[in-house]
Amino acid sequence: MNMKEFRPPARHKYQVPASVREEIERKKKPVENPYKLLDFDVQISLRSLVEEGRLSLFPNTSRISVGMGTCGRVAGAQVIARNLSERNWENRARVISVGCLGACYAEPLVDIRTPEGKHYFYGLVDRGSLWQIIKTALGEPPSHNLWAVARERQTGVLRGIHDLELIKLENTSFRDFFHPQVRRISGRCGLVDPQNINEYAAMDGYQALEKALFKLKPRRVIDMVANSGLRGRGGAGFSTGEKWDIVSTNSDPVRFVVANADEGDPGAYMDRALLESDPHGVLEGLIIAAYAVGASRGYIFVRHEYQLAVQTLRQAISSAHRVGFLGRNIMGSSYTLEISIVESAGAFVCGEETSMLQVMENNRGEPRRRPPYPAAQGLHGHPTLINNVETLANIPWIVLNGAEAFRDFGTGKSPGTKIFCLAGDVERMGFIEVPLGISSSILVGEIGGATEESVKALHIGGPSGGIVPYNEFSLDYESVAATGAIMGSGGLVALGHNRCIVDIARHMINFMVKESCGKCLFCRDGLPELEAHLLDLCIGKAEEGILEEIEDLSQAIADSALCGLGQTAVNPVLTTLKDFYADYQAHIKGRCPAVNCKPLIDFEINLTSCRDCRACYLVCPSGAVKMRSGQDRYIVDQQLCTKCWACYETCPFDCIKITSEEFMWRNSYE
Amino acid sequence: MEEFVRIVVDDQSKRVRRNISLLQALKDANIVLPSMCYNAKLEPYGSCGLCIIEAYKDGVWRVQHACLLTGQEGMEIRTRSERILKLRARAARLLLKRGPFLKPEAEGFLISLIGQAEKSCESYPDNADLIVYGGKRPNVVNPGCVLCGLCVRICRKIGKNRLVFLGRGKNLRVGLVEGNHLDNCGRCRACRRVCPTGFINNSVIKVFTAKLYK
Repeated sequence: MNMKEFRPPARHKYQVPASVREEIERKKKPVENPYKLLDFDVQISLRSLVEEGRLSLFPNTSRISVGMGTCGRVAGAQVIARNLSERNWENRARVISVGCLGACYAEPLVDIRTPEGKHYFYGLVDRGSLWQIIKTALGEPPSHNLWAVARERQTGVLRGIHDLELIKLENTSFRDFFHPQVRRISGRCGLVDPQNINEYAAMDGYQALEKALFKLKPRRVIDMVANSGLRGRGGAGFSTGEKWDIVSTNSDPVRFVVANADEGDPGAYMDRALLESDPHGVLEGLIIAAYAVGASRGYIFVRHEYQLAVQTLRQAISSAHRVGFLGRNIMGSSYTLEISIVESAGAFVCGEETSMLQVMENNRGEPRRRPPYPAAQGLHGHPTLINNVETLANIPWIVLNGAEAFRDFGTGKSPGTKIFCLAGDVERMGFIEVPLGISSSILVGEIGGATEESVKALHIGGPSGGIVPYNEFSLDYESVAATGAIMGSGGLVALGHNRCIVDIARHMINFMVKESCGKCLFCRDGLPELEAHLLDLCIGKAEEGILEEIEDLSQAIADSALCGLGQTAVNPVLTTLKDFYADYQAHIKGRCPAVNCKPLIDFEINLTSCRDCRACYLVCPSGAVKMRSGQDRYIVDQQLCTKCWACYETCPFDCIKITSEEFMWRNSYE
Repeated sequence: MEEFVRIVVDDQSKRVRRNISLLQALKDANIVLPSMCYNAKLEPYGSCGLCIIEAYKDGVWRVQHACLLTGQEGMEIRTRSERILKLRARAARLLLKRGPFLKPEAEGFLISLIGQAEKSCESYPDNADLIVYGGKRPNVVNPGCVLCGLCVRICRKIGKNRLVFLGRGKNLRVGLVEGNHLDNCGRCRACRRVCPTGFINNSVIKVFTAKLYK
């Protein structure tokens, strides 16, 4: 029997305020169980994502995409995007920030898609063309400032930029830039919203992952990649299929995949562009790679300086988690993968794979000796697959279209396409995707828009690459290696005739001196000595015999440095010594052929065409241009001249001559 | 049981131990290679570049650090070829530029290495300044320290782990992590004992002033 506790009856009745009584009543009530969310894994099908993505990609209103990659932001796209999005569009248009289309010279770039499937491209947008953009978005015919109009080949199908065809061209540079390109892996860049997984799915994204998970065995995926002949895009060009094979056949069941996005080469930014504009493409490649080699953990090693890329990537990973493309039971299969981001500390050497692993193990970023290669013994001693971001972005294309289709472009030994970053003395710079084996003249001449005469040399592959004379050669791994440079990650800097080769070689060595880890002697102490020799050349203090010393020292560093960074650091010097020996010799005698090294040049005023405008006299910051009476009305005082080029650039009649003569005094002194 | 392999050293067949550093294995076989950053009790590091040898692989003679190699059956190496002697002399010159060293024997050792390659230097080791520096000394962060990393490794090995490398490239230097109890550093003097150049001559705290952000 359930006995109740005995309580004596109350003797008095106290008046309690109503509010207190209510509170007491409320407290007496039993706490209701709050609604508990049951954690069922609801599988969101890819098809529903595609439908949602199509709604936002091909809306019934106008879609204004503003290029908001890093290149667009520095060109002022944020102001443009803010001005456009603050306007009351009355549901007739939407403003979306996308990544970079590749034409970095045309930033800020705005693309307007009208409901009938036409794309209007506006380049170099400033406030003057805002009104044109608004009118175009509202359906009125465009008047000026327009660059190009393109149409979707089939309205409502847009998988990449190759699905667009030009119908009207106002600015021919746009066609010249895009026409020789083959956009396979970067085709979505600049068209898809990088923060929206639905749009990526609507552009044939994640189809490859679905195919790999449900129709192919891991072994089959590896065979496909091996048959395609894809080579690592990070620089060395090792066969990707072979690397995957080594990792997948290892007996150790704990395996890792790492995407290497720590690119530090000056002038190369393809990893950044891919991560900012199309992060899901890289993510999909990474998931397929992890599935193929049987890894359960993936990492993306991103450069710390790429804040926008890190931010976009985090967003992409979380949205992939939300729809079940990452985490437990990806897409309802039995495969599980977690991916996390590791930010590098910002040293160039950390992009080297062994030192990258050291950083991930919380050690000092120093390279170690290979072998054992990371594919056999990597992160924490387990086999680790390390692939470049661009390599991974190729994977979904191969899985979706097959290995044979991949070989349609490129050469036999290096098939496929490659992203290059074109910079330097060219008219149109940007990141471009071309078939491997393309001629360098197409790249620099047609896409870059430089003339044959204006470019003297090409700097391929960043500081560990080489500086080679601008000839016609095909750009694939073997041909580039034959010229003495390396492909590297694909930075391509065109150097004009006014660039001093010796000074550029010195600049590259200076970069490596700062970025060397300092472990082995030759790299740490040999490189500063080499830089000092090159500096002697540039300031005219070099003596006979220095070229032999430079060559000897560079060879010693290349032979006996411990890691790839040190061994290739002297490549700019070795290649230029071979191809531009005359320039070095001229510097010994005190003449800079490119009139670039300040201590070796003089400014002179040619009075025959002078009209006495006094511009040079007024602009000179150090008072070196002097006015006198008599025959020489204006002269440059060489003692005061700081060689700032101000008079040269100001003179409207081209009277200022820059000369670089051989030393007279040294001959007489000896 | 020690395992032995047969390797060819300077055209002579030698029997050396397998599972240890080749530098140590050669030393046991009475072939002494010069080195500054190697200690038998510590893991090899490969900093000084004096122990370089030529190893035959894929048709070419490649320069390798002996301390980072291990003996393989049938390996062919050269320790005293002209190329190696020249490279070693260059390494010695680069090391001497980090001087002056407190231990005179360190300086003499390096100058003798230069002498092996260039016979002219052998007779007058006193003129090191003139031979090596050419009248001007380069600007280094810690003159007298060759950054061999022995002190860092020994400190880690005995469990104190007080010394670290700071910076990179030209600014690389050894720094002391000052904890709350400075007392427990400076007594064991392990780093002082292994230092090859005598840079750590008195108190570690005085020698390594850690300037993290110069």
